[in-house]
Amino acid sequence: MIQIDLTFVKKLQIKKNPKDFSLLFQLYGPKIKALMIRGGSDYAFAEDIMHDTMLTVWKKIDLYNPSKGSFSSWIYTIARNKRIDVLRKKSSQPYVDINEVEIMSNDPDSEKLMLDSQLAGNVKKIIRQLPEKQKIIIEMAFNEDLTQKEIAKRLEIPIGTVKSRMRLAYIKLKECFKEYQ
Amino acid sequence: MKLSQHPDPASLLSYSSGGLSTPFSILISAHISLCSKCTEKVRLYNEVGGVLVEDIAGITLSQEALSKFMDSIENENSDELTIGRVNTDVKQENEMIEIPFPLYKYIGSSLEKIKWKYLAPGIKKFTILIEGEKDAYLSLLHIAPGKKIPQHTHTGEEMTFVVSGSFEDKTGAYSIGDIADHDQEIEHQPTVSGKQPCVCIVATEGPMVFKSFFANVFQSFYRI
Ligand SMILES: [Zn+2]
Repeated sequence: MIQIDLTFVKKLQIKKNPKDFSLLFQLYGPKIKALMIRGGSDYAFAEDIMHDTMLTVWKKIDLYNPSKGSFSSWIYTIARNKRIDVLRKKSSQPYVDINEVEIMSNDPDSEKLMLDSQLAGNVKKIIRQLPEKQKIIIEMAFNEDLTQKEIAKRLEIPIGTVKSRMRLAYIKLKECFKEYQ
Repeated sequence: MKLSQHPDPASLLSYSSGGLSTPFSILISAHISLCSKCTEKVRLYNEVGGVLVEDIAGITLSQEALSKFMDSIENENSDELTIGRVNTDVKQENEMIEIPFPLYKYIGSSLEKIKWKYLAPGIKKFTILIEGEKDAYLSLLHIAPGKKIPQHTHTGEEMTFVVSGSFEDKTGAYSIGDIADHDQEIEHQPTVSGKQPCVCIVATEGPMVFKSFFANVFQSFYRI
């Protein structure tokens, strides 16, 4: 298995080499396809969205800023936006890319937002340690593309309970920042 | 900008996972464009999305997927490289009220061109139509100082974003950029505070139906 690290990504940002990019495609393509299938898409459609996502990654790779988040989270947000646009057939694109938000923001606090792979590592650790009840909800939201209402229905619990479990997970995740800062 | 009222962390999680309907996510976008705290939270959630993508077991791609992809990147038109970039030179047209850029697409960059509809004395409304959205609605309200936001019913969640002016209710005081994100059980009737009218956008599940429309009209007449 190839290792996609920051050096690899930076090399691609400097020179968009299709051959190197094919390695990225082979690593993330199958994962994005799996994500789309969990979200309710069929195989052919999942592959179309994956194709589209990876094409955007190729086109916009120079816009990826490592200080704003991990490479995987960047790819995730692109895939999510495609899913919203294409899979749900919504004509509008309400999701604001955080990297774009930053362009407009003059808030001095935003310096605190610096992130790197260390944060991604902490998030991974905390996700794995979450109580099962919270983890299931997080996975349903992110992997299966379910709304709070749909999660409540699926688990046969009130929507208020879904929200409070999400809040509890947030309290744990927040510790990533504490550790990091 | 210092903001005091933020969306529920659960709403921000759903925003990040793509689980909010368009009207609600538009309001969250508007808020995070002004709020570094919530930007930070959404980033954290996006990291969760990234971690889950890394952990997911991939599904084998079709045989031609790679060659198809390699063909498209080689034929890719470099003109498209700028797609998705924010147009940073949107004019504010010398006006007092600054519209957060995620709202431009829906209400424009100025409130002056809004075609308001009279709702009750001191209250105007403009319904923002969102293509492809059947279950959730977005309404822009313009309420005069001292007036109450009319009581209304809807079938589920509600979220309010303050575009200009301020209001308060028993849950707190809300001013520009703040979001009121309450569970549906909370009964509240916000009153516009200060000397300026309050313009806010309300996202609701189900259309906003004004419960006591006539009562509101009469109250307003008799109060003056
Ligand atoms: Zn906030």
